[in-house]
Amino acid sequence: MNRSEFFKKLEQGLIKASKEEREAALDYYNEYFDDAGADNEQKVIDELGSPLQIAARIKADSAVKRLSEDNKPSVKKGISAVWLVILAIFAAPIALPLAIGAAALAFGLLAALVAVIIALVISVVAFFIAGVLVVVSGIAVIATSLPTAIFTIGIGLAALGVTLLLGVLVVLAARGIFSGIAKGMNQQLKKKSKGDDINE
Amino acid sequence: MGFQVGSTLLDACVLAVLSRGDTYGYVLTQTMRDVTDISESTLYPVLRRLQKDGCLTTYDQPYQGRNRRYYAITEDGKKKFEGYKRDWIMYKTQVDKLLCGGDDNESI
Repeated sequence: MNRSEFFKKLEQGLIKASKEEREAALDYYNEYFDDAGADNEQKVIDELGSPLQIAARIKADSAVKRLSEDNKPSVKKGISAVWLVILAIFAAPIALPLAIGAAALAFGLLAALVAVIIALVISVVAFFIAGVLVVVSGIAVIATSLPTAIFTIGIGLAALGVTLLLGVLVVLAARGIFSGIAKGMNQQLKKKSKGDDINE
Repeated sequence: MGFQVGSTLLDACVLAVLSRGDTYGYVLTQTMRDVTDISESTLYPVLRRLQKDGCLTTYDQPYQGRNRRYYAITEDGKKKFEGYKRDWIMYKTQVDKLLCGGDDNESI
């Protein structure tokens, strides 16, 4: 790999990062090569390591940073940050089996969480449908027995109320969980690639 | 070296180097490498993070027909560095007691 290949790969890796982020990184490494001098080009490339790994690290960092600055992180942003961190783990210079293990664990965790959230959403929907049906059947028996009808409609409305509450809780929980894992995993990754932090 | 430098210590070291004067990426990396075994690629994210946290600023200076980006510590950065330094001295003293305490007793 020579200098221009290095930059081609770095730029490729940062194609989805923000323009500012990409330019800052390219400038920094360009300058780094210039300062090291043309004679040291190969040495610098060897020492810097994979440009794709550098790019993955930058993207994961800035996604997590954006997430923590956001007061109300959306689920979508949370998932994309988790995904970027997974990619960074794959690119990290730890032994491949370990990387696969870490990524599999992260992916499994993510899949499990998505499944739990889907299950919760389905139960909210079920509650809603049940509520509507109970209200309808209550209305149906109005002519036969007024007390039964009022009682049944009451239960149906209560179920709808619970639906609303649960819905809000599920959305809040999903948001918190995703930004939580993205941050946690990024922290772990930093420790992995730099060794254990003796100061923490 | 058997000990590795964690992210907090890395921040503290970068701030320490900058508190002695502004410098640019290559020199900063070489200075850090003289002391620790960090790889070149770990320093850029650290600089970027410190810059976003307001601990350092950058300015460009022309050098041989191109721009060279200098990093300078800010007031916030200096405050943070002082805090890190206090923590480090405390930590270092504790570890010294633990690691080297036995030797002292023998020599007495």
